[in-house]
Amino acid sequence: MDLSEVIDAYLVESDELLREMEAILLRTESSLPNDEDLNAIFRAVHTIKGTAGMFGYESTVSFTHVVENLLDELRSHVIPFKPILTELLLKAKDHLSFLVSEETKGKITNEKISFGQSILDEMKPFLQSSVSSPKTTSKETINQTDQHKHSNSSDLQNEVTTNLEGNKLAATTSYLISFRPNQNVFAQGLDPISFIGYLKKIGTILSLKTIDQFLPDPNEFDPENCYLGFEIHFSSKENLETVQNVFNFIEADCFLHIYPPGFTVEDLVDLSNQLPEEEIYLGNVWKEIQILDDHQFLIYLEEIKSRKTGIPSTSALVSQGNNKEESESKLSHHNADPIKDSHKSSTIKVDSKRIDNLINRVGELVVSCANMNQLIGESDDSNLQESSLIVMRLLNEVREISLKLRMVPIGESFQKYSRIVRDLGKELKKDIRLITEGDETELDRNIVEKLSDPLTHLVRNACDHGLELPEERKKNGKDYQGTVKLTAYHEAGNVIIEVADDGNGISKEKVWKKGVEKGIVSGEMPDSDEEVYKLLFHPGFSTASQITNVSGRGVGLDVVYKNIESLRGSISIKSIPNQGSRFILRLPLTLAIIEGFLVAVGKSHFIIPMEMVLECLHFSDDHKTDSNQFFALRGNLIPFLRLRDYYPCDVDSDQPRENIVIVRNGDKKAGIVVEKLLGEYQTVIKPMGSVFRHVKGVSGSSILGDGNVALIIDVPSLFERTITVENQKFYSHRG
Amino acid sequence: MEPKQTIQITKEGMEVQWNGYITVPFIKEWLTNSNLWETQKGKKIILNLNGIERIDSSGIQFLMFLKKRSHSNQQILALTNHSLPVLKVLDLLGLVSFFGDRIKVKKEHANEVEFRYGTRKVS
Repeated sequence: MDLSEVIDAYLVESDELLREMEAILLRTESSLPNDEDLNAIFRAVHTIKGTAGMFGYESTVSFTHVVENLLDELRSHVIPFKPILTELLLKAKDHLSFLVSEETKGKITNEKISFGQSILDEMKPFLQSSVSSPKTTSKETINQTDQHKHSNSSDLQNEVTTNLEGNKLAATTSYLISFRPNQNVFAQGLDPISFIGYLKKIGTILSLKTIDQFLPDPNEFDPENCYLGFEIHFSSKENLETVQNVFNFIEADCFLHIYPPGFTVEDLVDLSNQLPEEEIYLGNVWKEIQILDDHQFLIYLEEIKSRKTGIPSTSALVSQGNNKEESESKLSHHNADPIKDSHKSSTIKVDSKRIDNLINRVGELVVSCANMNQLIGESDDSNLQESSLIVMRLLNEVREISLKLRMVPIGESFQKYSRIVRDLGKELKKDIRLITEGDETELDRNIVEKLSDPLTHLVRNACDHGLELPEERKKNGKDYQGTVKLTAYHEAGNVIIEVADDGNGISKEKVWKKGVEKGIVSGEMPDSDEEVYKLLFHPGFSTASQITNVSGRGVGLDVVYKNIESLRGSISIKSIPNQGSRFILRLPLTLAIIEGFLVAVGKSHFIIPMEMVLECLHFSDDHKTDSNQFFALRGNLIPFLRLRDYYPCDVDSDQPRENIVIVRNGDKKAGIVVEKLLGEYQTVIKPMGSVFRHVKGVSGSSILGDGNVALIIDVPSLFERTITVENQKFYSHRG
Repeated sequence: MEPKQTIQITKEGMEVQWNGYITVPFIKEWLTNSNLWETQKGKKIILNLNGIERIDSSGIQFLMFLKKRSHSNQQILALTNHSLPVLKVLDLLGLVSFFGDRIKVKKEHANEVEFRYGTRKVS
């Protein structure tokens, strides 16, 4: 396997872990993290360190080593958690994020290393144990941490090193005792509990699991039989013989296996073959009693699998070769192991290109099958027709499923704004709360990724210029704490994302005045808010009296506008003085299935998103008014346009009858005049090619069952275009 | 000490008080009269253990067996008022989460149990 794929997996995994770490820290900022939170943060850092170590990313390993020490002491309650540590750990997370991404690209600069060191220096006063030099090799560092991790008891200081390549287990000072008393031990007058209790005299039971798998059904239960077993994670300074002596009197009446410190995953696999329980059950037990960590558990599973199949396991291969590159390639094989995946998570990571490929192929399949279906329809073979209908139904299901693969909830990307808002609040000395709504709203992954910059810009703007300083807010009778709200929802085949603040709002007068000063506009301020706010998107436009290093309302909004436009979306602003502003982003789903309404003008087909369609009517003379722009519907005048006026269509001269589709355009109604109404149509939106990027009024295209292409109408932008065209006509007429 | 079982029928099911030793003789005797519990299918059985002076491996195994059996009988078996000997065994064998009952440790017994492991449900 290509090594880059493994590194990609490392990057993705680290990113997820670090995001989780950040989310926990932000969530618990005011309440302090509990044990579970600290464990989760520790696991995140530990996992990154482990993987980085295997790749030989020493800067990452060295840095995480100290952070991990701190977290370990926190989770073991050796040191108390202080609020200042949240800040420090967030800094560490940021630096780690940088290290992870940069070290995969090449060498980290000394400047960055010393920056990392400064964070570590800040941590040191909190650490109770002395911190070993972070400039150890990755392998050494892993050993130290693993040892630290598993030697929670202060009385255990035996130093036994382990090494990852040999799959030796982290439990450096501990024994594993597998104790299965025979069924007849009670009859012998022996009580297994007393032997286990005696262990406490020569060491510490770190964890114990009572195995109850063989407790029988009620009618088979015999109180004279012993059905229990015990797996014990035990640590002691005593030697193996002393530990064995504890079980002297019961040795003959039990299965007893004691592994002294330094046993390996392979030893556990051997042991699992001797014990009566299933290997996977035992692996879970050993994980539960902390003999195996998550990573070792996976190696264990892999080793079991390899013994069954005869294919050498990754871990075995890694231990055979010292060659780093070889080890890495073996690791990649390990990563692809389905056993690992099935235990790690219920989700799997798939390269988005593969999903794109699949969707494209399914799309082609749909078209081919539609053609085939048409041909079959013409034949008289009813069996064939029936079969073809079943195939089409299944194919549609496959199409729906495959399309959903690309959709991701926007909530994941909303999460990162908590940090931005928090940091900005501190920097700007404002108390800001971020509220997110509609986190579950799904959007195409590509759009989510491209939305990141514009949204960041809008959120920063809202914090900096949207919200007032706390004192000012109080004076205005508002809550001391300002609010920035991110909302996502579906509306009429689009995804709407709103960035709102409860600040001062935007002064229309100020904006217009600035526009006049800059020579962009002239004359009296129009009534339409929209026209005034449009100025904000003009390059270089800013109404901010003071441009800070955070943002300036207007500075860069042109870039936001362009970004949204490039996604074939639109942006609008609503603002109420002293109540706040709302930036509303309207985005197409781009690559998704939508319920459409298929219409035709001549031989051209168009699809109108079903959610926008209100009703369809025969466009009779009764509706027509003198105006060529409005028609009368139940006493109301509604604007309309003819598709054939905007798109080159081969108009069917034999089609005297016109129909009108009433659509919802924002809060208003509008009509689209077409020739044929072809009904509901479930369609796949194919994004338009870059050549057509600037074509207004079309949000995408779709291939119909007969192979024809249909354009998907973007209703708001079609009407916007109409208004522009009409305005041009109007002004040219006046001119 | 001679084992003893006292049963009180309640609205929800029954409350059972055990005294003495939970060892093989007690379990054998209990099994011969197990129909007393069988009649409580679908109900709640509260088992008061404050009178237990001794419990050995067979006893704890029996409690585990009862817990499992109560599941299959759709009964709720709740252990209450665990005596110190019972607590010590639950602590040693990491069985707190297995039974899942609320545990009260008297102040004077606080140093005798640790509950460092086996208190968290592991899937």
